[in-house]
Amino acid sequence: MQTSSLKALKNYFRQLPAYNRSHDECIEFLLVRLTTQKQLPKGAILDDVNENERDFFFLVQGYLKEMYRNPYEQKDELFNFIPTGSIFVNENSHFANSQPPHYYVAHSRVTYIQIPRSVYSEMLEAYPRFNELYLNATAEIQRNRRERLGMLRMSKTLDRIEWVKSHRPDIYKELDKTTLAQYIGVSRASLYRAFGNVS
Amino acid sequence: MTNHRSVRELIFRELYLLLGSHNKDVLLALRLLSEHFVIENMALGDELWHYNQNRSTVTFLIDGVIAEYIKNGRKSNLLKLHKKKSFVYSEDVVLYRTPSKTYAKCVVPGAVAHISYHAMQDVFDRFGLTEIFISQLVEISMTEYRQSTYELLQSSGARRILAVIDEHPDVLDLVPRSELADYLGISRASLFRYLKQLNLHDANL
Repeated sequence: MQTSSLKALKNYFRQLPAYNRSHDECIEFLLVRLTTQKQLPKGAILDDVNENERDFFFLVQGYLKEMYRNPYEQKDELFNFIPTGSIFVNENSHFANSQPPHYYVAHSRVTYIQIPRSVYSEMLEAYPRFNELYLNATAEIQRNRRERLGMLRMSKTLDRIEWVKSHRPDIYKELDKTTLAQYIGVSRASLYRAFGNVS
Repeated sequence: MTNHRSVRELIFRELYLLLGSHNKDVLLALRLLSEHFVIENMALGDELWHYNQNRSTVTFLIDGVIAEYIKNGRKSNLLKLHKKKSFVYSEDVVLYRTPSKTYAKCVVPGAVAHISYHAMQDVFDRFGLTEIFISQLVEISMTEYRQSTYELLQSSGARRILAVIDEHPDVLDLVPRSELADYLGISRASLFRYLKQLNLHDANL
């Protein structure tokens, strides 16, 4: 396990609004028990983020596409786009509505750390106050989802594009046109029309 | 007219299902807690909570529909439609202890039962149930967001309507058309056009 990767995870916890120094001990407890780090090339599927596991993962480097089978289009499409420095899980193993299945694809070369559920549970037992950080991290994920839903309810394609540009510039610069169209819930034709109107 | 006894029994059952504890003391506590919910009628436009509010209340929706809006600059977007027999609360206040970024109001009249979250928390703290309760609420909430995202990722309005109906078969009977159009991110005219295309148009509505 690279020190820089652990440092990135430590920084992730430290930037959460609920963090204070009393959490350092539990963060260290967690970090010393992490042993699995993986690197995958662009286009690879993350096989270990499967729906049988309730492990957590931390994306140290790169971008991930969270994919699902769109039952109406009968093809695999983007559900979410995960930037560097994010915690991610296989949602099928965490939430009640486990259909359709989700999986992750590396959008670029990626490096990620696995946080086994057993290690997480052990830490929570030793340091129950870590739950404050867990809830805080969940709140951040939820806030992002909530904001994105607001964007997906905008009736104009251009407004949606502008929203990604201004609210998620980190994501916007990485998205190709097809992925952007899927991220904002419009067809490629609508996206190109909107860009055509701008130019 | 709302039957208070059956409402409290329903609240007790929902809390029991949420917490999944068979402990006798816990069951007694949940029974007492359900007795403390205040039952009221809810009229069109009644607000359950305001934007930027700090006060935390948990509401059990007995009947009717509540719409929750999120502020986006000067505009507001419909975030969720809450249906009957569910607990409704500001996530910001109850889960994350921050002022509410959303507000909620009644769009179909009905009845609610509500309780201060602090009163609820006092009971949960006594039995070490607060963390389980919060985790369960987080899971329900994440599941709802996930479902709404599926619906809204459909690039055509017609497919969005079908996706919403798949998840909420009674949505066309329960939710006013203007709210539904807002929820789907399409204009009212488009909604009527798509409903006609899908043979779901009802002249009475």
